[in-house]
Formats: sequence, C-alpha cells, structure tokens
Amino acid sequence: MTTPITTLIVDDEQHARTALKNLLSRHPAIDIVAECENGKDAVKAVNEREPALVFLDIQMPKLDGFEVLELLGDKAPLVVFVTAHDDYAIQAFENNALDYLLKPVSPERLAETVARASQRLADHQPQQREQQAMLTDIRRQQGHLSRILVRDKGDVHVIPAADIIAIEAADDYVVIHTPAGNHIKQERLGRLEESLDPQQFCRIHRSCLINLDFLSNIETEGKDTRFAHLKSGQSFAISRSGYSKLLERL
Amino acid sequence: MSFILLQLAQAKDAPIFWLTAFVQFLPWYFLLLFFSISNVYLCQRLPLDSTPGLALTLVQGLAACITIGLWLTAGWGWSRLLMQTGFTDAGALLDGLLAYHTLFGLLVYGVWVMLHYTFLGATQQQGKNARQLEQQLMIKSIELQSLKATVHPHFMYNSLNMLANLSQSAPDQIHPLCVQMSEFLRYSVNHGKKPAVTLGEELKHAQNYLAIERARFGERLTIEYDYGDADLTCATLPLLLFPLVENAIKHGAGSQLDAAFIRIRLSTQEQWVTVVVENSFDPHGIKPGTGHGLSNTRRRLHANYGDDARLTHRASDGLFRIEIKLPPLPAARRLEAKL
Repeated sequence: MTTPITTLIVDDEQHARTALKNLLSRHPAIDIVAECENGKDAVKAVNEREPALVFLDIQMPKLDGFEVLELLGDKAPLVVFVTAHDDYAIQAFENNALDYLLKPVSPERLAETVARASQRLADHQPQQREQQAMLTDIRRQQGHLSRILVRDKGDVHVIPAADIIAIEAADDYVVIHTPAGNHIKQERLGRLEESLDPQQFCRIHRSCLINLDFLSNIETEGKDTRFAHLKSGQSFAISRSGYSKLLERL
Repeated sequence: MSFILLQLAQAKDAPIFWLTAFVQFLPWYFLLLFFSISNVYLCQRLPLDSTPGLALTLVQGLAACITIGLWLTAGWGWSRLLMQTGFTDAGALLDGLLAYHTLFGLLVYGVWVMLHYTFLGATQQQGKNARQLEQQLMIKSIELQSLKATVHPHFMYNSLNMLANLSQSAPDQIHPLCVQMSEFLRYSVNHGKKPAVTLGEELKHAQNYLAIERARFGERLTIEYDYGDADLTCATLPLLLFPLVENAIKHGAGSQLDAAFIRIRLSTQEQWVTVVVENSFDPHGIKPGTGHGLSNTRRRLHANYGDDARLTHRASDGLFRIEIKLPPLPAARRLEAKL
C-alpha cells in the first residue's frame, strides 16, 4: 500500500466541490485534506497543509486559477486544472504537457488523471518548470498585466498597476512602492517589465522601473548622473540607457 | 430673338456681325450658366419641404434679380471692352436686346433652380431610404446579438456542468432547475423576435436566469425585487432586462469572494418605464471586460427610441447602478404584439 496522495480541491461552487469529492472518493489513493472556495484560501491552505496535488478551478472570482499558481511560485504542488470552457488555456496545457479536466468531469477521465498524478509523484518528477512555462504562455496571451499579486505570509494583496509608483530590484526579489506602503515579491524585474504596459512603465535603471504617471521631474547633476524625482517624494537614479528610454517615452 | 438677330444682320455687314455676336455671347452665356449652377448652394440651404413658401419665393426671387443684374452688368462691361477692340456692334447687340437678354437670363436661371430642387429631392430620398434601412438593420443585428448572448455556449456549459454537479450533491434540485432553464431558453428564442413584450414577461425571464445563477453561487448571492403588480402589464422591448442582469452577475457576484447582492427595481408612469439594476462588486476583483453589454444596450435603445431613451450608470464604493428610462413604445408595435 503506497502512501495516500494529500489532495486539495479548489472551486468557488459548492456543488462542484461536492461532485468532485464524490468522484474522487472512489480512488483510495487520494486523501482530500481540505477544500477551498476561492483563490485566497487556496494559497493559504497550500502553505499550511502542503498537499501533493491540487485540483484547481480556473474561473473563480477575484483570483483565478492561474493567479493562484503564480502566487504559489516554487512551492506549487502538482496542479490539475479544472475548467468548463477555456480554449486558449487548454492550448497552453497541451503545449506544456500539463494535465487538466473538463467540467463536467467524466469518471473515466478522472481515473486517468489520478493514475498519471500517482505515477508522477511516485517518480518524483518535478512539475514546477512546466507549470511556470505554462503561466508565461498564458500571460503572453492575456496582454498587459493590470495588477500585481503579492503574497504576504498567508495573505494575498492585489495591487492595481495604476497604484504602483516604482519597482526596485533587490537580489531575487523586487520591492513594489505604492502610496499605501511597500510590498516585497519574489520575481525578476525583467519579467515584470515585460508583462506591464510599456506605455505606463519605464525601466530607468537596471534595478528600477518607474510608473511615468508619478514622474514629476528629471534632475541632471553632471554629464551622466541624473535622478528621477517622483510625486511621492522618492528619487531614483537614471542610467544612461535608461535616460534614452525615458526620452523616447516622454 | 434669333429673328431679331437676323433682321439686324441684314442691316449690317453680316460676317463681321455674326463674329461679334459669337465672340460676345458665347463667354457671356457661359457665365450665366456658371452663375445659375452656383445657386445649388442656396437650394441646399432652403429645402423645399421645410422652408415656408413665401420666404422661399422672396429669397429665390431676390437671388435671381441679383444674379441676373450682376450678369447684365458683366455683359455691359464685356461689350464695352469689345467695342474698344474693334467690335463696334457689341454695344448695340446688348443694349438693343436688353429686355430679351433679361427675360432669357431669368428663364435659364429659373430652369436651373427647378433642376437643383429635383436633384436635391432625389438624393435626399435616397439618403432617407438608406438611413431607414440602416436603422432597421441595426435593430435586427442588435437583437440578434442579445439573442446570441442568451444561448451563449458559456451559459450552456455552466448550466450542464451545474446539473452534473447537482446529480452528485443535490439530485432533488435538478428538476425545478431544468424547468427554469427550458423557460429561459424558450423565451430567448421565441420572444426575442417579438416587436414588444410586457414587463412581467421580461421580469420572469430575468428571474429564471437568476435562479440558475443562484444555484451556482449558492447562499452568498442575495437577490431583491421591487415592483408593483400594475407595472408588469406595461409594454417594453424584449430582452431588455437580460443584458443588465447578466452584467450584474458577471461583474458583481463574479468578482466577489463574499456576500453579493443584486437589486432590480421596476416602475412605470403613464407607460414610461424605469428600470434600475444595482449590484455589489469588488473593484479589485474586476477583470477588464469588453464593455459590450452596455454599449449594445445603449445602441439598441437609441435605434428603437432615438434620443428619448436615457441610460445612466455609475460605479462607486463597491456599488454599481444602472438606470434606464424609456418612453412608451409606439402604439403600432404594441398592436402588432397584441398587447
């Protein structure tokens, strides 16, 4: 007898959770440790319970399934996405060899999924890389980010792009400055720059991205030393290439 | 006039005389043509169907007198110029026949005015027909869109999925829901084509839709209705409420993690209809939508009621409110729909 697979079910519809639980109860290998009705709770539950497998609904209020996966980052368990209709997402799963279920879930298909997941977990095949690659795919299709999600211990903050004053890089983290305070997120500045609207955000330095709506003036202190003063009272150094980028935008 | 010219020609040296007449009259009458054609702008400014007859006659008459006066003056100048260059008959040709020139000029001018009005009338009629057709086409296409939204595959997916879930968790809820879904679909398919329906029918349709959605969202969605029984007999457009209610679900309850509500208020006053739909929403939970629902409704109201329909909406503090105020439907449409 192998150890049971600790499993989490995430879906905003009570009936959907009940139905999936019923179907999974036929598989003794699956041990359901918790169920969540929204993305926020799911992030918390994964942190606390550390399940090996998550059945994750995509269409949920506030945080969708992709955003939950993004917030879990490196800690993400093996994820099986569950969706009723989402053609472009299905394309992304196919591209990255990820398993997914269509609603309503057919018992045969679920059995295949459980078998595949057991195999994967038994072989200790990490799946984070495929899952992150799939997220990159999805992001590319969704266009510019309109908000950034930040995990703060068990809690989740949603920061609208318009509220971001500037983002500074520090090692593998970024510091996001907002009028209400700073947030720290594990992310590369380059990736954020790619996904935010280039009309609104400008990389003025290797380690700094600013929101042009907050720019108040540029101070020149010598041939190559310039500072961007922001309306929030903060100042950031501008590199030479950052200055030419700024001039293009303004 | 040609007879007089012949008489004069016999009295003078004929070839020289004809040459003078040719050189003098050809450019001058061309000028008359140009003057007359430019009257088209005046005709555009004074449309036949909306200008009072007296004013029209006065203005056009005055314009005719001024134009012909200018033309005669130009003719006089031209003839004197010709006389200096050796065409000695030019002055006599103009002065001797002045009355004829005036009459003839006025006649040409008058004919052109009539031509202009005929031409303008024809193009206007064409434009009117095209506009009417365009309007009808737009009403049809907007109605088709609202119909398509109703039998949208997403809605079908969600509903089937919900029935499958209920079969596992609450089988006794399936039958009443199937009845409501059938009613909902039947109304969308059949009533969307009707020229008019009652507010009561519209409300029932919205209630059927909301019942299905409520089964999905469960206890966290509260729905309130506020209307008087007298309001329900009032005539209105089919599928008026549905897009508003669909919006309220999508961007309201669909954006919130916790308790959500939708309030629907109907009121009528002498066949004027007021619809208010309010819903709670989470500003951070909103995914940017296409905004189709609202703009389609706006266009549809405009196509049916022109500028008399009012649609206002505002979002503040987690409350979205949309209000529509409609004038009475044309009696012809109510008759056609047997209301």
